[in-house]
Amino acid sequence: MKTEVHNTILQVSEVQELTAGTANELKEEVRLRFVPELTDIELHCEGLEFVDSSGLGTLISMQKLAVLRGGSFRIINPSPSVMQVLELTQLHRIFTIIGN
Amino acid sequence: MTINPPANSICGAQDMAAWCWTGSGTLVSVREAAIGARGFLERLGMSKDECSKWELLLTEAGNNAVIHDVEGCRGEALEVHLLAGGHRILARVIDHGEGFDWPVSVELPDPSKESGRGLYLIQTLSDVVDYQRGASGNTLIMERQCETFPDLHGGQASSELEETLDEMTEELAGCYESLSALFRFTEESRTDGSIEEMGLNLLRSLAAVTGSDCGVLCLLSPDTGELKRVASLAVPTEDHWFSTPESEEIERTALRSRKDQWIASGPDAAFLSGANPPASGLAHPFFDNDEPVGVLTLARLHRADPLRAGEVNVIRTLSEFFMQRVMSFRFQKSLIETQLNRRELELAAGIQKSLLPMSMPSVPGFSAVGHCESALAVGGDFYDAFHRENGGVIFAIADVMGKGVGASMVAAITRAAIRSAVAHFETPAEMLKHAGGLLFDDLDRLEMFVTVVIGLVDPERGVVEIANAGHCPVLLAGADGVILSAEPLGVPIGLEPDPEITQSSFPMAEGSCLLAFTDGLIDPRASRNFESPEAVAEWLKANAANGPTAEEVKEALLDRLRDDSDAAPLSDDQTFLVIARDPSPLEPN
Repeated sequence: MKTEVHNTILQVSEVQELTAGTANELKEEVRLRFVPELTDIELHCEGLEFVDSSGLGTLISMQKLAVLRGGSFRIINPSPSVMQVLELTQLHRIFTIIGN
Repeated sequence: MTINPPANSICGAQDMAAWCWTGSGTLVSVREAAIGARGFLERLGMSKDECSKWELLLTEAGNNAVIHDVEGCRGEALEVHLLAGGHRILARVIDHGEGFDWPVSVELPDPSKESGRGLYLIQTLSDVVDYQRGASGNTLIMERQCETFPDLHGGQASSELEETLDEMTEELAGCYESLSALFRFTEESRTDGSIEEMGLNLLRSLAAVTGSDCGVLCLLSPDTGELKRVASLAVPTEDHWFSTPESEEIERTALRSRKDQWIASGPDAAFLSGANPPASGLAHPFFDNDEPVGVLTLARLHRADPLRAGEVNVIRTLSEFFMQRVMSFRFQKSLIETQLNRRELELAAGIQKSLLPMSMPSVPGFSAVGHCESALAVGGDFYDAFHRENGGVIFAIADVMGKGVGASMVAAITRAAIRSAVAHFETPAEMLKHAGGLLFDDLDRLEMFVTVVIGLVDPERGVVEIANAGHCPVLLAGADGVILSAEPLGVPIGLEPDPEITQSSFPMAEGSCLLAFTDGLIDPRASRNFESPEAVAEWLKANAANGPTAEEVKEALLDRLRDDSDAAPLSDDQTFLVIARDPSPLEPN
């Protein structure tokens, strides 16, 4: 996983999968790097091929973190298979999804 | 058919491909399995979309197994089996952890919830899902139709291939379903207190396994042979197919033909009509050895696909188990009834015994003796004999219609009524009339009656007066060999509120012998008995000729009654009373 800061945005990228095995670790990492000056989180999905139901939980927790700061959470360029899971669970209605 | 290849291997059968994986139950190895399965499907040329779906399905299934393994069996084997053939892919995920209860309906949680979407994904992505929690392991079965599955065999025999896969699926699924359903049902039925509870439990278990909406369980009544509903599940009270004659007809046909009757809609089953006919189902009869015991009917109201072979197997297995429980319930019940009957017989015998006089009244120049032998089913026979305050000896013999405790109780009140009447009236006819009036209300209400003889022996005058209300004739054998008979001149007491009673008066000369008895002596059911009262009279004439004592007559009579050693046990009480007047001492005998 790689994180970069642009203005008030924490950009998360190079995540290969979001699963029960990796979700907690990732969630903690994002929480640590989402320092008080930041308000928004972006997940750049290039290279992210697999998300399971625990991974969806991580996405929801990132959204909560950003909303608590008065900011927003955006999912950038999800792959078709990731998009499919979001649609199946109807979470595409609550996330801001950009690209593709 | 079982597939048992080495772990993590691909086996290519002629008409299908299988992939198996065994590993430890950790989240990391779950991913390893899912990625391995994906690779297997990719090599079969499955579409990327199909592969992604299976990767997600198997990841969710594996995660569930690991997450619900609270007992800490992690590290114990987790198994994943994949079967692909025709246009279908079937997966089994087996774990040995705690397992969980599959919810009745799987729904999406609130969007703000971070967990709770795994089962929803499994349910949504699979065409068929089945989860069986069992003692030896939990099995999740998932199946999907796939559009892009390549024809592995150049288009040959694809329907055959699909059939084989169908059978295999059923067999595998049925086996696990049976085991775990049986396990659960037997666990639960341990606490069931009645056949009805157990039946409902059976219907619930089977409805869950077979996806049926409703069911009915009927048993043949062992007494009447009628088919009786003992349990029903989710059957609306009215306006439903299960309350139409057709559903009963299917049950009866199943019993008569001894075959499962399939309920199916569509052109093959045009006979189905009535309100809300089921779309599919089965009526399964069950038997104890060859004896029909009952029928179980399960129905799917909205699913037209017939029950699979595996599901029918579960129905048969659990019905068999239920039938065994029913038989053992019935056996226990009959055992208790037998014990109750025996207790009742003991009570009745005790009452009957207490009604008999402790000793016979002693009158110089006379001898008297009574005998009362109870049949297996105790009745209401008794005899009585006592001195009357103003002279003479009263004797009575009675037979209450009926058996058991009830008859014994009636015998007790009859005896009391007779004793009371004796104190107030002069002649046996008056006594009997009075006693009959006293007892009428009670006997009428109980719909019982009593045959009674009351006699008065006057030793001073050498006379016996006898009143007989519907009882067997009382016989008097004179020393001269003449037999006199006091016939039943009145109806038994209990039939009329104010009975008309007349009495006979006979001389009771020296050497004569009186015998009063109940119909137990002439009951045709026992071969050693007398054929008729006339035969008793013949016997008395022959045996009382030499002026025997009452005791001697009794012994001779008992010998006569017992001379048939093969005779069946008593079917009625045998009660009799003998009063003998000593012969004249001057007469040489």
